[in-house]
Amino acid sequence: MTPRFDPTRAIVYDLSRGQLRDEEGQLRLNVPFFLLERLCGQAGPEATRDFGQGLGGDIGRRIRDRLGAAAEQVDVSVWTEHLGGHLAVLGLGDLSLERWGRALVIRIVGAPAGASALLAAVIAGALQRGAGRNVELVAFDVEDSVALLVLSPETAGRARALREAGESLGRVVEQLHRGVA
Amino acid sequence: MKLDRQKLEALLSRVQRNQALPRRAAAPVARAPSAFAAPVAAAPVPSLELDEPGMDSLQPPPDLGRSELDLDEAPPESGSAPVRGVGLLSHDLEEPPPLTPPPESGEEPAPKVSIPRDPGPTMAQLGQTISLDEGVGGPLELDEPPPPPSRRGVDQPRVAAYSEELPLPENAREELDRVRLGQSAEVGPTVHTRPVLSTNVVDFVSAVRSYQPESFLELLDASLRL
Repeated sequence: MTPRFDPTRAIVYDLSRGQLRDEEGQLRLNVPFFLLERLCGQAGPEATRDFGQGLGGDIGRRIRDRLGAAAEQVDVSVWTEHLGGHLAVLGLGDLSLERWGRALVIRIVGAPAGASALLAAVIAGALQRGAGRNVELVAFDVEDSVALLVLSPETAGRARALREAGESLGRVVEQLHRGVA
Repeated sequence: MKLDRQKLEALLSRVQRNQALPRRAAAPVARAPSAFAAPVAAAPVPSLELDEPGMDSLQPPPDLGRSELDLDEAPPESGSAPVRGVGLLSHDLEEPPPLTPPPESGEEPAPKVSIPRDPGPTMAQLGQTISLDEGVGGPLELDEPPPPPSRRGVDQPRVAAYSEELPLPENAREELDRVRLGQSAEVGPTVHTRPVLSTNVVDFVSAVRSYQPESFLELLDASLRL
């Protein structure tokens, strides 16, 4: 039976010791997001991407440990549950997976404003570590959500160029499908 | 109902012959109570008084409902003979019971019914045929009569007249074509136009909706192959 995501004791506030720990005993830190955003802005995109991928890598490892060998065969809903669960514990929004034809789109609602680049790095790190795939995510801000198009590093450059040219997520997906055909 | 004279004479001779014989009491017959048995037992059987009324006034007992007295039948010796009750319905008494052919008789051949062919109307029905000569009259005058002159004396145009300068209706040519093609006003062609191609990705995705990945990694790999 596929293990479910269990948020029990994911974060333990030890007020007597003044510490936050997760279920593995690692120390955590509760900081305001706007300060973290300021820090990332001062550090630059590369540092922010590295920070995000490191954070996502830890998520991917936990998912892999939890699912074991079943991570290769489980369907989309299982990954939605585990990946979204870890993201929710971090306070990075509500995750859902979408399939646009053959394209995988990760949509996150309720994420802190301005966190799309950080989110893209976190998800990419989680997939690289958890699924063993080298991916890049192209972020599209759609109303109150962030849509992350999951692509290979080679295709991500084209999609990013189309996005910079003003194409919407749907148009980019459509053109990428035409390229496949 | 009148009885035959011969039957009455035979009855008279039988009565006289029976008077000479010693009388025998009829044994009581135990019968199951029935709705029809009681009235029969209570019904008085009128005796034939041959002295008083004439032969024409003799009538069968009205309760029995029989159309004719069969005096040739032998009187029953006992009460076991089937007696039809007076409580039966009248149509049961009037109509004879259906005759069922014995099984060995087989099917009766159906009588042939010959339907005479219709010879058509008779000469009396047709009457005399009058041949009419073809008329050689002039052309029919279908034009309307000229309108009466106006009271004011101003000449008004005729109803059928129109001005050459009047503009044609917008749908005049379509109406003319429709009439030429024999189409009515209610029945017309249904034109199917080609739908406008949509650039919405939802329509595009629907074309590849048959793709159903079995696992998350399969979908992830498909997305990476874009």
